[in-house]
Amino acid sequence: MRFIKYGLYILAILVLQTVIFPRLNFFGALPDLVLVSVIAGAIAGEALPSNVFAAALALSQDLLAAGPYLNTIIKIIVNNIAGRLHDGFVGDDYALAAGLVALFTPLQAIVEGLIVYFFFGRQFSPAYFVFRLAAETVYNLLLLPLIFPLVKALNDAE
Amino acid sequence: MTKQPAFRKKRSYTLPALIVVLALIFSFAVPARLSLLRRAVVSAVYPFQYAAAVFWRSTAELPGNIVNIRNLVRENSGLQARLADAGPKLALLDELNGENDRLKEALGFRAGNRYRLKLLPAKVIGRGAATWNSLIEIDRGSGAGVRANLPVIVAAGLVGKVVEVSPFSSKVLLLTDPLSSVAAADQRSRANGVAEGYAPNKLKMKYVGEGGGVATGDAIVTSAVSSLFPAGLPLGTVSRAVKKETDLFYEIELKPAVDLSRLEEVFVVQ
Repeated sequence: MRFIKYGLYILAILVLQTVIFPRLNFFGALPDLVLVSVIAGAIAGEALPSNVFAAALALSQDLLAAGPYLNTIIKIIVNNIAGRLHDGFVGDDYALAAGLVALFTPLQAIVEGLIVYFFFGRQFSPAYFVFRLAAETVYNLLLLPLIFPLVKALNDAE
Repeated sequence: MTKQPAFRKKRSYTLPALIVVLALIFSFAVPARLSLLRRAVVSAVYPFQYAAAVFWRSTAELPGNIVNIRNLVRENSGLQARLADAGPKLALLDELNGENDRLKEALGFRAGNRYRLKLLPAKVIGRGAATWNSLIEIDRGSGAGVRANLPVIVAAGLVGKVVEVSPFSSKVLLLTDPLSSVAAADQRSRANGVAEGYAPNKLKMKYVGEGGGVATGDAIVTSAVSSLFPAGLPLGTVSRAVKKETDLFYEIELKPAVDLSRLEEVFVVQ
């Protein structure tokens, strides 16, 4: 039952990420529902299930994209940092999740940008890149109130 | 007080480290990059993506369709009257078309490949799941004869090329992706260069040296030296072209010919 629930959640996130939100893009900037879900999962869930959840979600994201498995690598690391921070955190879980989304969204984009620039040797518009950092962070923060309770409910239902 | 699981403090690095190492290996060392799994996942998700895309289109078009029904009734009666007049004119056009073909042949004119492209229509059902690259997903795959590296176009010009094919769908790398590059030529001066993705609404044309003669407003098309793309497909218009004395090449920015953010139907060139 647990696998079916998580499977349905992953499927819904992938369809939203690839079909619906691209049509609601803001000058090309898109939210990363997977990143938000991974952070919510790390805070709302336990260590092992949240790792498996993050790996399954991020790997599916990479399989539906093209190129290297960057999302899998980044999101597994984010999941573990978020989980460890949560272990030593005293305060509101939702506030922690919002802080981590605000931190990791631009950080992830910067890592991806560095890889595109240094590893693939390609240039991109710095102005648009800065805009993308800001727009994606705002977009992700706006979606957190919808995703966090959903992921928490998935974990609590176990 | 929030209940904390007993093993929360015992987070292990082993599993995440293993997954990260595996991802690195699959990314850079495994030649096929899990292509079978990719195809399986893409094919499994495809029906849901297709249904969501159809649902979105019908929902987005519904208000406009309701408003248009009254106009359509009026337009329909007008069109029927015009259709009755058009029959004889069409017959005349067929005759002229045949005559045109015969005259071309007589002049030894060989129609260029661009006029004989075999086009496969496809609908855009989604976009690549990652935010860092610009991919679209179309509803035609290997079953319809799509192969990797085939160009994808619309009436306004080149969209990109197919990078991955599954049985029912394919991924298309857009021109504006930083990893995309196309051999390009200035339609006026015939200067050759390489057009690369730079931003969602901007391309850069590189390697045009002194004497290239590229000017703002010039149309840039695919070059005849390209082995992937048919020559002459519009890529964009030069929005900025400068060359400093110390630079070897021009710095050229292009506005893409196609609005890639609003693609719904495309054609795969087979």
